[in-house]
Amino acid sequence: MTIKSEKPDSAVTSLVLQIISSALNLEPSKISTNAGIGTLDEWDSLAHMRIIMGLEEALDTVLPMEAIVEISDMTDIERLIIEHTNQP
Amino acid sequence: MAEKNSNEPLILETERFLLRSLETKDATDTYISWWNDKEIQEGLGARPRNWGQIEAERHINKFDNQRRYHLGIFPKGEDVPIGFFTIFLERGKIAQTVVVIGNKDYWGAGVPFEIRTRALEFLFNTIKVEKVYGKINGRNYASIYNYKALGFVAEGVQRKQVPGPEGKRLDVLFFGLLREEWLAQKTAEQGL
Repeated sequence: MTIKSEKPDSAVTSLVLQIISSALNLEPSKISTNAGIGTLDEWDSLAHMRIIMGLEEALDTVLPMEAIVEISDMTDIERLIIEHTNQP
Repeated sequence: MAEKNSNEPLILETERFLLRSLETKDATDTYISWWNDKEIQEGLGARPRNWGQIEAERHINKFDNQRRYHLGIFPKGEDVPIGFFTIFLERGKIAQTVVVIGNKDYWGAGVPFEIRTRALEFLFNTIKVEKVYGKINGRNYASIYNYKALGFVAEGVQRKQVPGPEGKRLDVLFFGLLREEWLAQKTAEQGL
């Protein structure tokens, strides 16, 4: 994946939706752009764990704790992916 | 900081659970098994303790119900706990809390959220602490979720701070909630 922008493009959004959809066992169409802790019932502690593990698998990396604690919603995940893929 | 006037057992109630101070008689096989369970202890960043009755009773008896509380989490109407909730009151009007869900059937059932919500009421309103915090040893993502869901703020990571169960050193992550943050949350909830 080649992503060099500061804003999420459709590839990033699609990847994030795929990770969240799989972790929450929900159709992507049922996941809104503001999905996150407290806004989606299915996003519970176990789902959160699956999301982080799915993200690490997708990026093929072990994320540092400083990054993991920033994850509260879909936007955070998009930002993390962009930051990760923009690293030299 | 206010303290309870006596060291009488503490009882707190939530919608689904009764939390009460554990006593020596509560050092049951179930309780002991949590300390010796690999998966549960991994969540705490620790190895199984290989505890028996003596160690379990000694641990329970360390808690005085004034500065330190070790509360069993009992589903209402049941006398077998599913885990425990521990509170340490520290100098400077600060409390540290620890939650362990031993009964794995209750994992992912929102127990930490429910009991911490009640414990925060007790700590901020009754004990009058100014801050509540918790530590996570290692990569316990479910615990991170639980703190964030209650509005705790990630305050920092101590890198490779403690030895872990598999020989690797573990990061320790700190989450804290200030009185004013908790009050702001309550106000926002009431405004909804």
